Amino acid sequence: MKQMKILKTIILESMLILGIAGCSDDYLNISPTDSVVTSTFYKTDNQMLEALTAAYSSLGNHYFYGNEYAVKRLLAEEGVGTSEAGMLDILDFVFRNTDSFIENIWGSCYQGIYRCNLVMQKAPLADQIQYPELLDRIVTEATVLRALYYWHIVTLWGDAPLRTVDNMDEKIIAKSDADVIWQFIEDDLTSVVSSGNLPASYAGGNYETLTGGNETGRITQGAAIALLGKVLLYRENYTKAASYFSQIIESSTFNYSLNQNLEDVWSVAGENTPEMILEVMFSKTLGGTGATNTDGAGTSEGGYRSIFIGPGQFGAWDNVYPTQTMVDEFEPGDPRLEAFIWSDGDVVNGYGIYDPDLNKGDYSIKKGMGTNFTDFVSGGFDENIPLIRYADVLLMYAECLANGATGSKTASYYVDIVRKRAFGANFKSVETLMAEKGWDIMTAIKHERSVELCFEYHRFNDLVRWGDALVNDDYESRGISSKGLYLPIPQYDIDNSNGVLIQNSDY
Amino acid sequence: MQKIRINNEVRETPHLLKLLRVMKIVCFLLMITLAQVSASTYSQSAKLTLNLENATLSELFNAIEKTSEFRFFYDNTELGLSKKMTLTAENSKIEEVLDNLFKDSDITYEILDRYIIIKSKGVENGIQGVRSQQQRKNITGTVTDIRNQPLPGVTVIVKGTSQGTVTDAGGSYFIPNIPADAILQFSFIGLKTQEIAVGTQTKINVVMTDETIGIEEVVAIGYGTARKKDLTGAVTVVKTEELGKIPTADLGSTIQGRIAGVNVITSGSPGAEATVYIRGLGSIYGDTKPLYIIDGVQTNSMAGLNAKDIESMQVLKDASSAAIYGVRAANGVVIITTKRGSNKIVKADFSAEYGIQSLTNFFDVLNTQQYADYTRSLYQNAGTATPNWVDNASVLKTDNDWQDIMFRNAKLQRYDFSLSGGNENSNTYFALGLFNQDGIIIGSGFDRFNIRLNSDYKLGRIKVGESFNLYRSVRKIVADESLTNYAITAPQIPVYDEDNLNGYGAPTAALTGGNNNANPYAVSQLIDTKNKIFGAQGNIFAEISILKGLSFRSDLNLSVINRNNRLFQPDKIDQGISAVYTRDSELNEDLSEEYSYNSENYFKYSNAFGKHRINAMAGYSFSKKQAKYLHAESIGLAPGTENVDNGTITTTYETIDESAVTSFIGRLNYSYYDRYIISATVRRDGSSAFSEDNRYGVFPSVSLAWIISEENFMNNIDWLDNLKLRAGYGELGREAGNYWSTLNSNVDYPWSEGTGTGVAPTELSNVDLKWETVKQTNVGIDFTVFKGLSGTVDYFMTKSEDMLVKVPVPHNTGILENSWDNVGSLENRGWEFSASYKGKINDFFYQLGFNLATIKNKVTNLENSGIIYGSLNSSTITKTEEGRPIGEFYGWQTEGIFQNTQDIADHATQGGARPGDIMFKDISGSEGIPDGVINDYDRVVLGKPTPDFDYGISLNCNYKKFDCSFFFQGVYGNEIYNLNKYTLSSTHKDRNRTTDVLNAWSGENTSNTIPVIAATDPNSNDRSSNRWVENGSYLRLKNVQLGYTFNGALLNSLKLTNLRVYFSATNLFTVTKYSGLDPDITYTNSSDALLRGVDYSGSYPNPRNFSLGAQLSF
Repeated sequence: MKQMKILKTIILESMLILGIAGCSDDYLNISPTDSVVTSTFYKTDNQMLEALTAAYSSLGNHYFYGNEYAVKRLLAEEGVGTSEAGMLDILDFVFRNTDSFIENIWGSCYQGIYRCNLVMQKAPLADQIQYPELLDRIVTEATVLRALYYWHIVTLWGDAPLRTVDNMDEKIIAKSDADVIWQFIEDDLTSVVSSGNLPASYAGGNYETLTGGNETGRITQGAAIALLGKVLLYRENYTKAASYFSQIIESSTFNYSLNQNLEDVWSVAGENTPEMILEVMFSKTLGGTGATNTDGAGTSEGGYRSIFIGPGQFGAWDNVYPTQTMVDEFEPGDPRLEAFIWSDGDVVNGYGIYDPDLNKGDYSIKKGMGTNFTDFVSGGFDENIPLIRYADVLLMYAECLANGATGSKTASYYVDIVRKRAFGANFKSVETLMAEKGWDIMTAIKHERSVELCFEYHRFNDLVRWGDALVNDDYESRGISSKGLYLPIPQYDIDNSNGVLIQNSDY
Repeated sequence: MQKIRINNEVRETPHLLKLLRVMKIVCFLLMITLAQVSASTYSQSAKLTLNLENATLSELFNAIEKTSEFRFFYDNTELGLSKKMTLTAENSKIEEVLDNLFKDSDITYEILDRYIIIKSKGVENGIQGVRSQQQRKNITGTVTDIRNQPLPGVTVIVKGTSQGTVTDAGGSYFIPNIPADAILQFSFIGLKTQEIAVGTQTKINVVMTDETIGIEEVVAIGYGTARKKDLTGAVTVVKTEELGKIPTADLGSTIQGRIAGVNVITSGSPGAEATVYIRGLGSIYGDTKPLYIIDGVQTNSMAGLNAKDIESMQVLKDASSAAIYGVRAANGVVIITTKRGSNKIVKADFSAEYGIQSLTNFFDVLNTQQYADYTRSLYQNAGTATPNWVDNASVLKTDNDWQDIMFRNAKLQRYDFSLSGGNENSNTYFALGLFNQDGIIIGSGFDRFNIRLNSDYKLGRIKVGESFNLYRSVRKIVADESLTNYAITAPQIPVYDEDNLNGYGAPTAALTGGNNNANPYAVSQLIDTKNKIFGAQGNIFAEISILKGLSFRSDLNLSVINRNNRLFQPDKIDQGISAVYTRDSELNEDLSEEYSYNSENYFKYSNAFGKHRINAMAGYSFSKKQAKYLHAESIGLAPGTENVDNGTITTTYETIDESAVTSFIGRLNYSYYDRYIISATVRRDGSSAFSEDNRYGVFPSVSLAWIISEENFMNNIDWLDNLKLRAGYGELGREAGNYWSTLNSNVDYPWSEGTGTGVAPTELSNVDLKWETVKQTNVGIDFTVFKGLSGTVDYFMTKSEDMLVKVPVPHNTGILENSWDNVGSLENRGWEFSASYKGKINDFFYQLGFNLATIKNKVTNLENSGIIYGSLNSSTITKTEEGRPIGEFYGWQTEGIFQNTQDIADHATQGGARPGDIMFKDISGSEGIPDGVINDYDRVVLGKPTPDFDYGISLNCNYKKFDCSFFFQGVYGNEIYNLNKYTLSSTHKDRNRTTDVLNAWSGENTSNTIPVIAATDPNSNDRSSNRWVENGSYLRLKNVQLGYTFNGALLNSLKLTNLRVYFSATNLFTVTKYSGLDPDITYTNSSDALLRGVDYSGSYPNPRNFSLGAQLSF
């Protein structure tokens, strides 16, 4: 009887399943239940906001700003490193087209560009939009972000593929001239700035119901203007650049100022303060263990910047440390030396006394390092990275004025604003310094940028645009040639482009 | 002593009886052993001359035995031995003598060669009262093989007792005095064990058939069975007894080298599955795993299956055989049937094996002082500061070879127990299996427990049954379990260090400069990584017989696999990455459930009309798979807790994969005159992986066979026993990926007020995605000649069209992952040969097996991309282009070392070159001719990962009660990209090195092969080049086994019916030129067809193993 029962069950079960499957046309219609399908997305305000968030996310990719943008730090004489052969090679300006550091920066930038293009491509098709003006803002943010990514591409590679909404879905395209890319960036930013789509500030959150108030960190009107000024400065269009920088500094719309505490030029306390115009946002609670994610799929926080370059004495890897040239650049008594660099005898909070004998170099980078060198997970990398801050804008404006642009004040006036914050009571004007050293104003500005903005990834770009990279002693001793001014296009892209994409001629 | 007399009084005393039985058998065996050279016609040729008067029967028998080789057997209670008789004979045959002697008595006799059995007629007719309750009789007979050759050494045992014998040189046997309800069991290694109920017979002649290669044998072909004779495709039947010989939990590893055309790459990691390819690599990015049908359950893995439970294994290699499985069969099909209970007898089997595994080959690495010297050169030559430790005497005094510390001799044990039995209406097979293996790397290991229950029930016209396998396995994995990793760990790191939080030494800045590999021993001890699987797989079926030959069968196949992968690290331990590197406790946990069912419903018809034989099936099947995967990571767990919510959850995600397939299936086999056979199948599959327009694929096949040896005109060819020609064509489908494009919704960004969700695509979508079609043509010959040599030759050609390829796109598209597309086509061709020969030299029986398969693959078209590069660590190392094989190694050719600046000046421009760097060859340029510059144009093909052929050689022998087997396996003609060599001996890395670097270039003419030691590599010495490509051919003695089968006294005292003990050695030696540890390599990511043959740190070497084992039946 038991067997009959089993048999009945089997037959019934078989028939049941047979019945369901046989009768239903839907049996093979399966769509994923664990992820969103492209064809149903990009419809609502929220979905467009999420698409835009993804475009910001590439900035934090592991090997881009996520891992302290290793290449560019190494590319200035402000830091050296001894570690993996790959990094030493970059230090020696041996750029290989198969270098993963280089490839990941390239990939991250283009990933960000793709996501910006996607926002712009999908926006006109979004048919469930509640706030049309929000959609305009989203597209505008994407436009600025794209310009920011292209600024990285054009300064590091020169000629490169120019991906726009029109050709974003083509697998293979050829390079565009650097000039074309520069013009593209300038045009985009110019139209953005005049559109008025961006607010001066996101404080308060205009669309809180949609965003949950998560707004600070987005690109503001001020950021767009400052970036446009910077682009024009790089193009040596000083007058036009100055007109934008002066808006940041003089216009009542904006409320930028310098932080009083020097260490807050790059610290958790300094985040989103009036000195910060554009930052890459980081949070140690975002991103998994080690954050080895390189493609930005998933969370992409750096996670171990402090471990990577922190002092070996305290358990970090000591991969990059300041050169003597960098340290020597500081004027005697400049408080910024102590604020930005650890040297013999300094107290490292929570760890002890800094001892050069226990580290690879005689100094370690302090700026932006946070307080935990050893813990991927709970220590992590919590400090936002400043991309453009007010001191930078002041110095860039001064540079415009020193190069023929006209303003209500002189170049040295703006340099002195920066110096006053640094030296406090011991302030010495830049004019005095120039007189002592026999420098002209441009030399003084170069010096000021070097010490004020050290380790903030500006130095290499500055040296290249000033034409100083090839005449700099430190660079020469490491064998730099004109080849060192631009990076090679990753071989992966060359190999997968059927001969359409051509390597930089130096490689 | 020659006579065996049974005494009734003794028989009534059990202990004495037992003793006597033992003696009896011992004596009898001794006698048979002494019997001399075979002469099956002795009774015909022997002539007797006797003259005895008034002698008793026993005296007469004695006299005959003295003058001849005849021996008498009789029961002294049944014969009047004291009766006086007179006998005269002159050159008479034994029959004449005996006929004359017994003509008036009730005594009969039987002659079996030299043995004469004397019986009383009364006994035979069952009249005698004393015997009627427990009828006893003597059984004689001969055992032959299918070629009618006598088989000596066959064990004949009365089932359920210890009584038994072995056949003599002439294949004859004699077992006296057994009950009529006895069952005789005939067994011989390599042949199918037979059980025969004695019943009324007194003479039982047995033809032993080969375990699996009998010509009448029935083999599973999918949705039914076929006579092997009727097969029209390339089907290989695997000898199941070979499967258990290699001590591993992974069945894939055990078929390595056994089957022509089945290529297996194994891993030594306990519990790891081997990579199995049938007839080469059919696809670049699609799944290349064969389809396994285990008692009807379709799966892509044999994990959890116990070798001992397998009754038969068939490999359907060609498309015409596999097409019945349509979409999932493109990589070949392996049909596995497990054991079922047999009628009548209850049988218990137990086997045990214990082994020791070890690693015999290690890398020769630098000691601490040498490593310090190396490190000094490394930085000095790069012009940078040397770490202080190289001159610190207290650091240099520690000298550890981490390979020694991390490897051990590890035990392996397995135990199997099974019970089987049944009656006409039901039967059951029940088995337990236990496998326990410690890994040769400290901390690694594998445990598995299996329970199987297979039953059948018959209820009139209905048959129902089930096959179920439950298993539980635990695999312990050590983080970074790799020999290369251990080899390059700094030798000056102490194993233990009291000053560290957890007591283990660590690569501190003071010890190593601060950035070296973690203390591997600490990692193995502190981090607990376990992968657990609980699996239940099975089938339930019902079959209803409708008319004669026609039946309907419904199968429901189910598989549920639950996995739990877990990494736990207790609170605030120092992982050993550096001295003060403390981490919070951490838990990473995956829970997953893979559930699938497959319902198959079909009619079967088989019938024979005169010379026509028809076998057909038609039905409908549908299946669904669902895999859920839940992942959580948590840090800072409360002390003593080990669950995610007692810490801060840092990551959680869940993925759900679902897919469905529906199919109509039909097959027709028709055989005429047992000579001409045609088989046709068609299958229409629909898959959820494709959009509605491309959803369905129809996969037909047809094949023919002609058994030439059955033809009349072949009758006179004596040496030819069997000759069959086969030819077939079939189409199969392959699915991969999905047509839809999904978005990743974890692309987040931390706004200052909190995380913002970001959503972005990671791949390009492709709604046009469709089936990849595999078309295969196969021709083959099966033959048996000279009564002992049988073989098979096959030639096949496979074309994969519309290949599903994950096409790499330039990263400047913004898409960093490869995306699915139907691209191009691929061709595989190959020859397969297999042959076996059975022979004997006196008492020495042997069977020699050989198989060899060649394969050539060629990409015939790559529509969009033209060339696909395979890269590892951002370095292109393989190239796949039209007209060439998949994944050829690709890079520069070296030409020695620049000895001085003059060499550099004289050579083609090579950017960054310095004396001591490698000189690369200027082979081509943008114009196709050498351009005086070393650049990408100078890259060439450096080798291929696919062997020209792979082969296996097996030898099984039997000498009396000894048996032994040897199994060799190898590949020839492939290259290996030895990335381990780069990891171990690149002269530009700050890690410990092999002693190769002692010969590095250090000035003019110091070396022409190993470049200068320097932390920088502006010349890219380490680029992909022939430095890393090596000959990958090897020949390995995979397994040797020596066994001894007991019978007689020992068996009896242990109440056993069978006992075999054996010694087995695995991976005894390897002949190879490869400089790595093991040429049988798997790259961790072996699913990447473009990186096959790359020896990378994931390879866990295959250990050598010695084991002792025993097999018992009772």
